[in-house]
Amino acid sequence: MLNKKITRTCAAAVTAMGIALGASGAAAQDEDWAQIEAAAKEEGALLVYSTTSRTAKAAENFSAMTGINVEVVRLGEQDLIQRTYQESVAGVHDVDMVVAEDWVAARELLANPGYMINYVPPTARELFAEEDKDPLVLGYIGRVFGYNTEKHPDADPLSSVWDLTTEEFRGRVMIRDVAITGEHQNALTEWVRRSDELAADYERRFGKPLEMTEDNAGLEFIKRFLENDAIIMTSDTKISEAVGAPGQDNPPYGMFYVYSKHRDAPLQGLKISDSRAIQPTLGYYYPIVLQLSANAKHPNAAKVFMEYLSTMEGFAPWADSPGVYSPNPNQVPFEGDMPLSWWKEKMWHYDRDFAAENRGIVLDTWLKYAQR
Amino acid sequence: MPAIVLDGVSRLYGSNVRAVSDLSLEIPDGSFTTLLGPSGCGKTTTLRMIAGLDSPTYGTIRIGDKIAFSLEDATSLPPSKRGLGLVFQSYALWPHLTVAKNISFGLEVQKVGKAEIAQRLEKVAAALQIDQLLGRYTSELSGGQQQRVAIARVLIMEPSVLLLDEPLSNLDATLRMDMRAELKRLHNDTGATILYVTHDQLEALTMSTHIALLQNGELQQFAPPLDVYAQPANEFAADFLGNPRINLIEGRIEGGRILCGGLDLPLPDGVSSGESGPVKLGLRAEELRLHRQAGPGMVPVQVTSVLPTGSDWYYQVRLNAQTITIRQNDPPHLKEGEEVFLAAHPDTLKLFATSGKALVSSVPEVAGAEA
Amino acid sequence: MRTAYNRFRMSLTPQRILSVLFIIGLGYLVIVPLFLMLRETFIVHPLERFQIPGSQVGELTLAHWKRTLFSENAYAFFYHPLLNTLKIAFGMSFLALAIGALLAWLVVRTDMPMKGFIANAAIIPYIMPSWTLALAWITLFKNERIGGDQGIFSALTGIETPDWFAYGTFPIIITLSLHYFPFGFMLIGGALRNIDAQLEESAELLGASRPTILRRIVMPLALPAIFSTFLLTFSRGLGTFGTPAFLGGPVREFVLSTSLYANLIGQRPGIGYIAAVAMILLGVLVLYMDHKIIGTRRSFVTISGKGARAGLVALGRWRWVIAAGVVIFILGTIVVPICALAIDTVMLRPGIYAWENFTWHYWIGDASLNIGLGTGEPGILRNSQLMSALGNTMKLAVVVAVVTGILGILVGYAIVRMRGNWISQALDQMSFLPYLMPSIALGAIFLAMFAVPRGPIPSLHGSFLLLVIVCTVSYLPYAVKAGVSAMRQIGPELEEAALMAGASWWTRMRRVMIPVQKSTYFSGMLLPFISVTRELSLLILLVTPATQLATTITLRYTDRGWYPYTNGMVLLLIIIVVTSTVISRRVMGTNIAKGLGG
Repeated sequence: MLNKKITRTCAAAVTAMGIALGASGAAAQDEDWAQIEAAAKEEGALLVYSTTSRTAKAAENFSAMTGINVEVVRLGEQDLIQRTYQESVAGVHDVDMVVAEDWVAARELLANPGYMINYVPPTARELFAEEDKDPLVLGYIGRVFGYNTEKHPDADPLSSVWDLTTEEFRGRVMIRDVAITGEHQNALTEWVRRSDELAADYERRFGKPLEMTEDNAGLEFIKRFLENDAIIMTSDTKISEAVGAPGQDNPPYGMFYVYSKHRDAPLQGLKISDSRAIQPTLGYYYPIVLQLSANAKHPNAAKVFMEYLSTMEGFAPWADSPGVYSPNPNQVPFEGDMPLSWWKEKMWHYDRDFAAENRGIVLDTWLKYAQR
Repeated sequence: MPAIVLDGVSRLYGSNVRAVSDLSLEIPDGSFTTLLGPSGCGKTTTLRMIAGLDSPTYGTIRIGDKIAFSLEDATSLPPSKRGLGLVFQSYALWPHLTVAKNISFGLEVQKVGKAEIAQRLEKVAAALQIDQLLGRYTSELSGGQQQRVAIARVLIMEPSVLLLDEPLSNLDATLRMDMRAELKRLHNDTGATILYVTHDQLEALTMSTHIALLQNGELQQFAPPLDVYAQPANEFAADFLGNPRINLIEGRIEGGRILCGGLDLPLPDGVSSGESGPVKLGLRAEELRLHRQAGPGMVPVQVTSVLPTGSDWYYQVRLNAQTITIRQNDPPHLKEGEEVFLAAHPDTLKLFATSGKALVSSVPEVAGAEA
Repeated sequence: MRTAYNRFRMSLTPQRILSVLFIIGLGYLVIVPLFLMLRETFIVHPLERFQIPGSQVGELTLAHWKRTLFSENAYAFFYHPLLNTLKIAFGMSFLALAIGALLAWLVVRTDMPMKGFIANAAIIPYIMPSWTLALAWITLFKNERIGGDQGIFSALTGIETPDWFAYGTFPIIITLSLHYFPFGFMLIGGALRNIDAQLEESAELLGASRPTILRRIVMPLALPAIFSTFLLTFSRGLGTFGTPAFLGGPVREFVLSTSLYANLIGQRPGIGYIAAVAMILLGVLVLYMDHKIIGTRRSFVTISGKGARAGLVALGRWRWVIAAGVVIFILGTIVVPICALAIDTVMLRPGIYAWENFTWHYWIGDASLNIGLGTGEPGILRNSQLMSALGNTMKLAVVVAVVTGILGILVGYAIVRMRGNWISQALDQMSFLPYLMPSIALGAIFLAMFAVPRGPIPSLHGSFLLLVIVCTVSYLPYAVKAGVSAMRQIGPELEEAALMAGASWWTRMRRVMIPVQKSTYFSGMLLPFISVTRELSLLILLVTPATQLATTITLRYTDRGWYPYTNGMVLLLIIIVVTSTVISRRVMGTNIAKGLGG
């Protein structure tokens, strides 16, 4: 057992050196990567807070390769931000880096006050698009609309998001409660920001202009969607299972559930497909971001781990399902999935500043109609 | 030296409830002193303050030659340092321990050697005749047995003063008689000072060498039992002791005579013949007699009821719209409704001013205070 | 002046000093968090500033309160969830009370057979996490509305359940009351057992009928227990999140706790904590009513009855039918949820109920990416991380149980011995407050309070000790209830007798006060023990890799939909807790009922 481990570690170390050599060219400008790597070995263990459980797997692989031990604490989005924020305020600097979601909130609470700083490791510097560098993106998560393929074997039943507000879909659309899903709140701010496009799509679909009682088409959608008896759930898994379960006469439709649930669809016999025809957005994507603690006790080890996560090898634990995309252009998409660039064209993201300013309004509108 | 001295002891609850009020008392060494009074009179509070389970708001308590409590000296001896033993009304036996363990607890706590504990346990158990019960749990004992264990638990500590808080109230009537005698024997055998709390005047009369009578937290009289009985310091003392209750009749002093519902009696010694005005006349049932024939100073009355007790006959008559009880032990065989004549014994009658204070009394009003 | 000083000095008895220490300690651990939470509702937080024009982060503001209570949408934001919360809290309290009282009456006062079994089994629904019943309900009764596989009931009967039956207020009330009825069963059972039979017999001699006796004698005597039950269940109903969110969402039934969560997740703690404050205030209101109405009367139930047990009501030929009904009911509330959990753990692929799909893989399998869900995780029993987290949970549960148990004794002692004093009242009410605090809020506040050294308290961040402190505060109410009820049953003379014998305070506690009511104290430790094993939201912000707990570690499986692992862990915990409860009953004579003061 021990022997095996040592062999594996040696093999991994060799690979790591390879990566380091390959990367060093790009990193050479203002930092000595070799020195960082050496310092990282000295620093030893690393503490990471992460919203995604796969970080633990990546950390395991990383440790086996480099001998740097990484401890990962799995926290919910809000818990991670809250905990890191409270600890930073209190001057407790145990955590070295975070793998966070809900960047809108994380930026406000962690980055803007200077508790967390951005770092772009060599591989990312060389290969990533500018927009994926600040904050450094580990990967993007895609959230989609989905339908049951037994009910709709031939054609995609959705052509506009406004379809979901029609009588035909009354009481048939499921969404994870926006009130308890920070990223949904962010995503819907984009619907407010791009209100005109949304209104235009309404006109395209129904041939008449959108009549609004709310301030803009985004909020109008929230209102109509909820008034159309949307079903509010607490888990994406339950949504994909409900949508895809075979043998249903009148299966529901899913909105904004994580596309990665489709990985298990064949295993579970789920008859589910995401809508590729729906306009004006196929859903939304949002980043999982990596941030370095400004007061990290093991900054070099954290940097090396961030570098590792930027490589395809480091991304491997996330690469085993659709709906998760590395910003590394060399990454091959999951079998049957499209590359990130394709999705970026067809899916809305959100504007951080606009989202920060407006998600309160989105949440209030949601609560106003959901709890009425 | 007195065993216990209370000096101006008061106990206030909150700002205006006075459980005990300015109580001064000297309990003689070797005495069997009873704190007697109706419930709520402060007797148990007094006992608890002496024991150290409660603290006076004002005043000083001395036990033997030690100051047990003094606010001025900021002294409050812990209960175990006062050399007292307390038997609780409920006995307070520990249900999770055997009889033997209950009794030896105090010695164990004070780290007395095992051999000595065993020896003292044997002695006290034999004295109280509970040596057969030592292995049992207290829930398996009868009331009387529990009480013996409670006493044994205290005696084994060889206290200089034994405090007993209504120890007989949980026993049935026959057992109570036996225990009274036994407690008296215990007092005689040990020579220890006993401070006894009860609301039962009969217990107080039968066992004590001294009675401290309390009402509303105030000391009414402190004297040997028969003195309290014969020369009550006030109306309350007269009323509280004695069974049947004393007859209290309203009357007047006029022209050197006591006039009361037809009775016409001479003033007893010690009352100035110059006095006049309303008084209350206290006559105990055995100090009255009924006669078939009229005589000097007698009043005609009608017998309303006849209550024979075996040894005695209780008669009730109406006088001045009041029911008067008379006890006689010779059988005059009166019948209800019979017209007879009531005679009072002028030497033993008690006279009280309207304030309730005795007009004549050979003992100091509050004996303990000045003595 | 000097006498006043002396009087003060001499009044420093152990119980006074102890009480004052407790008041300071509880003040720090209960009142300070409460104050901090309240303060947050008047402060502008980073993301809130955008909705409050011209405001700066950290400024004082009334905007949160205005928005919540007086804005145009205040009904949707606050009053509607508040009404729903009250509806659910009242509904579940009354139903739980009714079920609990009926069962208690059957077990204590009738000749129903199988009492022993029923009395033991009736406590298990409380041992299981409350959401298991919600899960079971959905599995059984879900209809087309939330799609997926058919509900078992519809599959068997072909009848579609109506929405009001499958989701929303009705099932929330049913499942929560099925979870909390053991409170009523234990407390009212205890009260019925303690009512002196002579009280009923004398009423019977005066010609009162059975129903009259029940109404005029038994009910009033059991009233304190009834109120206690109501208080305990109602408070829980106010704060519960999982079940209402899960069962209420599909039909838009939202409660105050949703508002709390939503606004915390929306990074608007100022608004969120208003919901928490409202929940606490409602709880305090009930607590106050309880004190007003029951107040001093509480003690008479706990006097252990000396009289003989009243004659049992003969149920006649119905006794077996009733017993069977009760057994079916209780087993239903236990077995159905357990099966709903267990079945997932032995199905290779979820939802396919075929023999070839049966597996032990998720329990004892090797790590594999090719079998079943392809998790690449070793089976639960071979998963060292899961097992070590389970070990941590057990360690924490035992330590917390012992610490709360001891504190419960001491606080109970102080409360009972100082009765009538303001200290006693303050302690009594302060020690109940944590029961009313939503744990998600409590966790965040404790994190902030203990992350830095404050005065004599070093930074406890990341330590096991902090977990212990937080759990102790949170579950102290249970232990104090047990402590108070135990102490009430010990007359003060038992302690005074030891005092007279020269026993020090410590000796008195050790040799008299504690052994006398040993089983009650141990019982008081059971509820904290059970509660720790399933605590998540209170601790999630405080655990570290070294102190991972069973509940926090299973999160990583939940978010990937790997329910066999999550459910398996819950099952393991249930098994462990039920086993320990049974063992402690055998060995220590514990009884959860006593732990509630029953």
